[in-house]
Amino acid sequence: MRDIKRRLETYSFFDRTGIAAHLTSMAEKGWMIEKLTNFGWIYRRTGPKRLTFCVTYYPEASDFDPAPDENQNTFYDFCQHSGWTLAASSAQMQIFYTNQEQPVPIETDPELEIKNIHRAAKRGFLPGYILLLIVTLLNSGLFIYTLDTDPVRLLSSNTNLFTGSCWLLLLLLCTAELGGYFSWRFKAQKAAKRGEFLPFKSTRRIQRAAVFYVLSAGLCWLVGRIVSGSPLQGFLSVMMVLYMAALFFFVNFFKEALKKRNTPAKVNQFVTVFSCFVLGLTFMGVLTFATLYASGRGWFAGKNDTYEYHGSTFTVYLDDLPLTVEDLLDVEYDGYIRQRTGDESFLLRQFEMEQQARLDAEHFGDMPGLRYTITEVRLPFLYNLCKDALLRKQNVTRNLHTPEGQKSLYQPADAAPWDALEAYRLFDQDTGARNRYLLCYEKRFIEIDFDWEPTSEQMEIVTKRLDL
Amino acid sequence: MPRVKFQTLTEQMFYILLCLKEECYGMDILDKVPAMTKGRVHVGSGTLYHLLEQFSDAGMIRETKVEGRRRSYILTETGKDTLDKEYRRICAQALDYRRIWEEENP
Repeated sequence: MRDIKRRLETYSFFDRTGIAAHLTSMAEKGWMIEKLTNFGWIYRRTGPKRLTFCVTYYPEASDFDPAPDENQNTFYDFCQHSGWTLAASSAQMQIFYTNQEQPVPIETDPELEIKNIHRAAKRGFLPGYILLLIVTLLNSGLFIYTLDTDPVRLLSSNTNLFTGSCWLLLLLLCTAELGGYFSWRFKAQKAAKRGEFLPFKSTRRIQRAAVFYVLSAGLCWLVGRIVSGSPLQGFLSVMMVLYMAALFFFVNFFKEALKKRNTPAKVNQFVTVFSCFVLGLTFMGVLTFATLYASGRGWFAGKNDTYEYHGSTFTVYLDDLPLTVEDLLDVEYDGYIRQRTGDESFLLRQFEMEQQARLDAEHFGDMPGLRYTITEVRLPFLYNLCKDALLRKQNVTRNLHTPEGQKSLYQPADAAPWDALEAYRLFDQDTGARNRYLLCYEKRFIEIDFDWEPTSEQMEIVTKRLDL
Repeated sequence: MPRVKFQTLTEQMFYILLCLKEECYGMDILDKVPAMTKGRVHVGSGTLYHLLEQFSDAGMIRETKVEGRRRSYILTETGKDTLDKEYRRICAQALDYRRIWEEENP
């Protein structure tokens, strides 16, 4: 039977009534709070006890203090004198308990308590959350901007959907916490003038739902990347998770180690923040170097062969493609590289297929190649959004810095030879038609780029081979 | 409108200052106030700690002795003036109360 229990608790910093009620309930179940850490709250089995808990704030305390100073110990003495024993503390938050039936509360002046909570909040909770709000605003803004400019890439990637939704969720939580705090403070100040203490409306359930979402969606994403992603995607995903975990662990380790060595709080704070930056950059540097090093040596090529050309290593991909150059042309060369890349989510899937001759082929420049992208819409309401995005990507985004007269634009073409609902052909404003098409089908979009002018027979083969 | 600091005193502030008419350990005020008020008024330990800090910063009390973590305080002239002012305010309130009721029930 375990005597120690670790739980991930999701209470707001200033939810003193919610925390006290929860700890009272835990003590009744036989679990006494022992320590608050960044890796969860630790409880010790003590047998069921009827205790009353009280959460209060000591504004001068810091998470980096090696130990309580004289003044803080005096504060503890005062509480002890009234029958309150310190159970645990985390930065400014101090948790006391008593076995008295009707104890005198630690705080008996609501106005003073609100001032103290605000002083404590200004030293810990508020700067942290405001910084987080800025970061989440920037990242959420980037997510929404990408959703507007390149929705296909964003919606077809589980990675992008997962990280984007996490940022939006974090933004929501940050806003709820900060808004909740200031709203509570405003109402609590009014209530305090009437001599009343105002409890905080807990956001614990929302926070628990958010943590559950992040953990379960993160696990699904990771498993998905390992199982169905390329070896490189799997490697990078695992390394990113390890990177975050290692960074969190080491930064906490440094902070706690410095506290044990009685390092002054200010020095500890500086070293911890500095180590966070240095470790973050170092880990990222090592990860980038290792990925490039391993890729350069073909470690992620799987069973594929590699070849050397001008001192660089290239992978000979031989992926199965639904449509090949050989289906369309009579070519004798058998050294083609056939690569299939892409991503998919529950909303969209987008795969890019490319067939090209090896760089060391004798007549590399004369060998015809073929490139096409299949975008499959899994939810009908995304169809028009995708079509507009694919057209805009070519007609607006790719021409953003191109002067008028030299742009390449999709223009409506005859859809009948392709058996498509709509067809568009790329036209250069200066040189005329190109052999690149955007074809719209019921649930799919095909963007195909030939190295030659396709005949009507070849168009028919494309339709048949791509099962359109 | 926010209340000007210590222009009026809460009941707890009043009794804490009153306890410090004579030199007294801060912690002992926790027992003195209920004793003085026959259990009618209690001061929370956190409230007392922070009020002692604020009174000290405002020059209303001064530290007289430090024995380890035990500190004793005594009321200053400023503190005495504040307490007197509060006493007069309470008396005026009581007077108004009596006058109003006596007018209604002569």
